[in-house]
Amino acid sequence: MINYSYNATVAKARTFYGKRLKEDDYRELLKKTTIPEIAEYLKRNTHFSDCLSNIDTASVHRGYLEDILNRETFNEYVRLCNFQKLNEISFFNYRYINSEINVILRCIIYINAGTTEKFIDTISPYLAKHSSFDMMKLGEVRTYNDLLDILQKTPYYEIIKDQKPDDNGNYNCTEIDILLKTYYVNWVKDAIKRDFSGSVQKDMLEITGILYDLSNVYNAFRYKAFSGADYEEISHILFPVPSNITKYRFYELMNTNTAEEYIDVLKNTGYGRRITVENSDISRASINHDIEFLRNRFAKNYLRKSTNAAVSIYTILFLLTTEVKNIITIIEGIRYGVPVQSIEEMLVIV
Amino acid sequence: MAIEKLEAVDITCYIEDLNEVLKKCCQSGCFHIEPPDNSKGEKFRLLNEENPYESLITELSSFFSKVGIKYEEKNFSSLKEESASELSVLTDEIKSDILKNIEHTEELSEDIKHRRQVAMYLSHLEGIDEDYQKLFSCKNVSVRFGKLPIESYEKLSYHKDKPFIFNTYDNDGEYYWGMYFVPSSIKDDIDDIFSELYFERIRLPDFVEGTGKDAKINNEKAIFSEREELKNLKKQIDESIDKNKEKLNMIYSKLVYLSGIFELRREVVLYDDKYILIKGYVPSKKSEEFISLFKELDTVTVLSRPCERDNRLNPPTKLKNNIFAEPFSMFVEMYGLPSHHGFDPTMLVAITYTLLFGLMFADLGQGIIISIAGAFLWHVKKNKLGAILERVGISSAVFGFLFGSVFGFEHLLDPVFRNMGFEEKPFEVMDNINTILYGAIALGVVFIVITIIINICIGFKQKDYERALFSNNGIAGLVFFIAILGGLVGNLILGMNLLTPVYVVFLIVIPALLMFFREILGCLIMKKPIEKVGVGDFIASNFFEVFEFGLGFATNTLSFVRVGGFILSHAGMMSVVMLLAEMAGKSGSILVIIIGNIFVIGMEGLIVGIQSLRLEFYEVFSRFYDGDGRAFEPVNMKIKNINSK
Repeated sequence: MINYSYNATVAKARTFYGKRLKEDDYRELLKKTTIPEIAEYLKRNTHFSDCLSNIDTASVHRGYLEDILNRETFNEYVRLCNFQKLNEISFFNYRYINSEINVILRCIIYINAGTTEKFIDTISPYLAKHSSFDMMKLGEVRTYNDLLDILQKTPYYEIIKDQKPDDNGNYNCTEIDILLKTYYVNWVKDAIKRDFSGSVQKDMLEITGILYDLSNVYNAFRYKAFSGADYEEISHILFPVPSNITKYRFYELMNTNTAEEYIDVLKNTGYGRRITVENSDISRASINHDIEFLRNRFAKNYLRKSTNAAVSIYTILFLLTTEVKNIITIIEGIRYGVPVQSIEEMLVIV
Repeated sequence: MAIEKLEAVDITCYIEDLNEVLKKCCQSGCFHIEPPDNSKGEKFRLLNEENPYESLITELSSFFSKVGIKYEEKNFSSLKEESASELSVLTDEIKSDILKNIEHTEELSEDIKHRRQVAMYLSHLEGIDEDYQKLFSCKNVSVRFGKLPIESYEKLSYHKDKPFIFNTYDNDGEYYWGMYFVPSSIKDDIDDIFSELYFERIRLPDFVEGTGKDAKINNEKAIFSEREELKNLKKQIDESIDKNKEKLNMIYSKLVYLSGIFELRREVVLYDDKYILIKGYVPSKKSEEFISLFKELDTVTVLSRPCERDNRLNPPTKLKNNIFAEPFSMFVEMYGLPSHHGFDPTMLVAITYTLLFGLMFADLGQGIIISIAGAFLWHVKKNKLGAILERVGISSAVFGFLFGSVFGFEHLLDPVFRNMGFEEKPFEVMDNINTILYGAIALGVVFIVITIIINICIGFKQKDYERALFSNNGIAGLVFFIAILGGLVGNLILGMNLLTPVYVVFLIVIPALLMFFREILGCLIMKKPIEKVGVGDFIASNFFEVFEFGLGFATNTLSFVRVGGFILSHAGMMSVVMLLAEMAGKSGSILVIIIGNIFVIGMEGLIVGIQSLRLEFYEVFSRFYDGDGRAFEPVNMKIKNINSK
């Protein structure tokens, strides 16, 4: 148990939050009509100017631009952790573990698709540097067993080793996704309980719990909407976190028959009421955005009120990730000629 | 301290002669045109035509800003062209050559920009020892030039089974610059791989030839020669602009003039589709001279009559002041011009403002600095505020001399005073605080009394007896104010009890009652019907108004305490500067004194300027001044104003 005070890190995180893209920035970005214009705006007017300083915005590859933005968020996390040697605390490996799980899941998708030779192009070397296994070696994976060989000395091996392919030779990505992410959430909870105490532990359990609880709310909706799943089926895909929804409402929610019924019940929960008050009326089309909005709103509130470094780093990283997602939404929207109004509706700005 | 007398002028002419008549009006430099009154009848109408010069002015103005010509007003008498079309042809002749060259420079600049971009690419590909043209002409092998992020470069080894070769020639820290070769038959697949790796392809233009080094050198040579060409072209343009600048300005000036004249056509009335009526005013002393301008035009009739003879007229106001007071008309105009039959307070403002500023900012050295700075602003920059500073600076210097203060040095002038026969400086500010504060109040009393007397005179002149006799700024108010002051001074300072029953009844109560019943008394004297109001309303409103008058006298008088306050504040601030200078030691003291003086001149100068103006507007103007007049604007000035808009 570590009881510590890292006020400088808290201040640094909050300062960084002050530099985030504001509504005016998004408005300006939405006025742009080409990727170079977006890159130029980011280079001239935002906190991304340093990481884009060597980039020729007139010719930058869209994919590379997105990669640079993601890399910058990751580097910001590394810098914040290194600032007061927080990287020595085991919990602060959570971001690396999350990245590793995402890469493994993507690799399985490529194995199923039979396009493993292209997988290497999707691996970001900056993630590989912090990985607990040789991530770049995944570029050589051609079969599921190749993957298991590489993961042999990692905790992931035990989790996915017993998976069998179906008749078409495909592995069940959904199940592996649930297994790995459940492992991740449990790891985060254990790390919090092990590494922190008192109010830090309480705040961290609260904020991580809320964020995963909200993910559960959306995942349950997806299952309800696309496969009409019942509570029994849904309970398998939920992250192991206690829900903030009252037991009665929770069962009512899970036992709804249609997506519309689900939304009606959700509106009567604390989350639903908050979304309606702070953002908009929940609908089938907007629920993903609404839930993301609420997750970010919670992260922002915790960042503002908390005075401990763990909460600050966790929440600022969550918000920065959303910021990059927003920029990528604009880039993709412009690339595919999506109307500005529609792009704007997809942005999560809290 | 006067308003110039004007004569009303009516001009009648045929519509054909209108332009000529308007030009004569402009030429006179003293004709104020009146907006038309079109409510006379069906046969009268206004001229609503489109101004043909406006578009030409806009066009020429944008040309001026494009080529960097600064508009200067020129004499255009040598230009024979009059109509818009003639002037348009003339302008186009001059502009066309310059515009053609400008277009060429833009093309060249664009080309240079492109070549510089290519030069940047070539600098990274300098190591290529094969001829670019040879590489371009390969049939079975495709070549792609470009840059690959360093992180992606590391992944190339995972594609070693694919048939491509990637040659690198440079590494700029973010990218590897180079080219890859691929069999043309599978180029799309390899292009896909490179695209996934974020390869940014560069398409080199056809003019790139030779090896990497040769291509770079050739491109630089081309840039150099294009730059030379651009330089020569710009020189030619500059010469051409210099040669034609004068003429273009003449054309522009003429267009502005003709456009202004055309705009004036909207200010006249057309009668019976044939005749034109123009109404306006000229200064009386220039009336004959003005009429004589139209002698050669037989069909034009000009009639004039003094404004005083016709009560229906509402003439504009032309202020006439001497060289000292003239700049202060700015403050008067800021508040509002007096009406033509009103009172011009410019001289009063000039004297009182100068006095107040000098008193509140008394320093010989700083006054001289302000005066010099003001003179510079006025004579070089033509800023009217500069002329005011020039005058108030002298006033500061005079009072500074009397108070013996030079840049905060309070005893620098002592030898001068001794030579003049004084033991020491005649007035030490910090030793006479009470005298200064009482003096400031006394000054306020004098100011208020003068302004009430002015108001009484204006009231009599305008036959407004309520204003002259019974108002708070009339005789009743004056007696009331002086009586109360006299009583207070007698009791508190002189030790005499003047407040006897007779004194109180005749000099305080009766004037107060006169003010109370001022509206009724005014109507009775001027034989006007009395407005009927309820007794309760009448008593309540007049009681509070008279109460407010009394309160106003007290607060207005005390308001002048600020004059004394600023005298003390100035002395106090300079003593702080001196104290700081002393603390700074020998080396720093001069710097502290200089910075301190600049600070005091800047900050206190500004505050004193504003406070003096406040006293003028609130304590002086509010007692007698209406500011409901409109400016006399000669048509030639009006044309300039129209065009500057």
